[in-house]
Amino acid sequence: MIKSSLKHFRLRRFHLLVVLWLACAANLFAQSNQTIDRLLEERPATFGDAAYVILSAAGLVPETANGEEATAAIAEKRLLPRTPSPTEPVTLGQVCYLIMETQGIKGGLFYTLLPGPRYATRELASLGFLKGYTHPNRVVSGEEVMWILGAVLDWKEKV
Amino acid sequence: MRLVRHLLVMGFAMILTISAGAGSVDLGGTLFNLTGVGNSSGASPVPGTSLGLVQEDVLKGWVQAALSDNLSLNIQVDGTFNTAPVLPFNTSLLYANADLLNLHGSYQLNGALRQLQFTVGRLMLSDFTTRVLSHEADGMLLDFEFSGISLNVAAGYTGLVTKGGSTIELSKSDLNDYTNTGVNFASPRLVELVQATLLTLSGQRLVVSAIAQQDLRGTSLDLADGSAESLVSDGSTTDEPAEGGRVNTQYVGVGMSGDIVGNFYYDVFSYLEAGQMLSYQSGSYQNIFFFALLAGGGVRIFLPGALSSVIGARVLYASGDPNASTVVEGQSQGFSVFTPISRPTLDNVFSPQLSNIIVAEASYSLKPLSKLQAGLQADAYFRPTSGAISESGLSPGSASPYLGSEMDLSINYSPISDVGSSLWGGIFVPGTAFASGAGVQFKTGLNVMVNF
Repeated sequence: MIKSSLKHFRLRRFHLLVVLWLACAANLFAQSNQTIDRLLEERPATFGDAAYVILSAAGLVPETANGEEATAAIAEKRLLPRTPSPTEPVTLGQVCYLIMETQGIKGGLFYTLLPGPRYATRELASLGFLKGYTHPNRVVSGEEVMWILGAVLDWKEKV
Repeated sequence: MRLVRHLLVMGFAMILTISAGAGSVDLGGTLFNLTGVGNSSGASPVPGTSLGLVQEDVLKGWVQAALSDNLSLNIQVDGTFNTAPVLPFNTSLLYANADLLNLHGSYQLNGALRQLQFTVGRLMLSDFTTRVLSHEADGMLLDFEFSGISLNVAAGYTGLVTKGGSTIELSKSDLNDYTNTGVNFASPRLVELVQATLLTLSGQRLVVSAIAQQDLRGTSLDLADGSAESLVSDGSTTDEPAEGGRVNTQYVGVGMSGDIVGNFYYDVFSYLEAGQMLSYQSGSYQNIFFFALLAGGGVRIFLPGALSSVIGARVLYASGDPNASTVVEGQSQGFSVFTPISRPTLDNVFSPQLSNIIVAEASYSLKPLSKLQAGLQADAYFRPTSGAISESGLSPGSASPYLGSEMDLSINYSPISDVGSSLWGGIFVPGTAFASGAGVQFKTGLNVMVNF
């Protein structure tokens, strides 16, 4: 399934995504193929699948976990002010905030004062990891979730 | 003014209606403070003689609402307080302005036209050099992206921009408005721009640009001030040195830029200006036509291995008129003073209008740390003719071309993503063209900017 996903990727416009995908492959290949394949097709992405890949890449949930378990882990750790249901569409702000928190990225002045999806989005936008509208409440596709996560992991390897 | 109020009310109603249907929205702001000290005042008859504090505070707020994947509403407003604004102002300023208030669309297409973008409303109009036109206007911009060719077509009206946010100095009426506290809006002009950028195979870029502006003072399209303007008229036999007429100008420009070899880059450009205005000659005001020239070029080399150093050199030439006693409506002959639509900033201390000027510049910048950048720039100023320049303080009888030299230093530091700072300073040593009383001018300060 992973091979078929990668082949499908190459046909798409975001060639750089493939590079980033390969850069973080060591982290992601071990994860549930089924969840990743589903996430790549989701428009918009569901919160549970996005939460799974983000937490799994940070080693905060086991590879065998699923979206529901990842969402439960977020609720338990109180990573978000309100934890959505696993089937709700995920927003750009939620993706950015979860990546910032799970990857231990320090933000700017306002992220330190008021940590949350809004200033997490600003931080990743300032690092050049976001495409299109950088609105925290914008719903995103699964492909975009993978793009952002891949870009952050690639950047973390270099710094 | 009544029409202006109606337009504002309609604008806000439109914003509320459109924002209510937005798919996603973001908003934020910027707080900027400049604190400094200097003795530079280009409006002084004896520049460099009085010390003063420089204080500028700007608060900006912005909203972007995505109406669809292709369509967005963009708003940016700011309030500015400035004790020592750049020319042509000579007083403290407190004003509010809308930098952006527009609807932007971007569409990917299949076929020869690959992308179409449009912007309608308050927008920034700029030519490829930003030395002839870089000004806010209310109008429309269309961007057609073909493979290898990009075409921009734009038109806008400048008369609804707040005066404090404007740098148009094309006529004596424009200058009079800057000192008249009863005038709130910028010079009323209709500006049109057509610009084509051709990307060639060898990394070279060729740009062709045509710009025109029409002076709308005294017409029904002078929305801000209506008939309040005092304009001289064709055929009038009374010489009124402090008053002027309408000034219309057109510009045709061409530029090339690209790499020479490796990390060695160049750019060259030239603009030919044609203008029409009233001039008092042989006992009456007569319509005259003039031509003028702006040309420039530069080279720069990037040295990534040497602390990301950039070494650059640049020359600018703006034609003059030996008989002109002022660069604004001072044209007296066929080939005369170049006058850009908006006024660019050249340096921290001495920053004359691009009229009757030659500037030779050398610069060096480096980035010793990822969050720290430093730059050094030296400029030598000359005048190509013995006529006036935009600044005061020149020796009345002098024909000396050397205006002086300036050295600027800046250190920029951004410790975190939403906070930036800049420590800067400049010193200008007047040349032999200045009157003997003109002293060394300097300005130094600290800028701090916080985005929220």
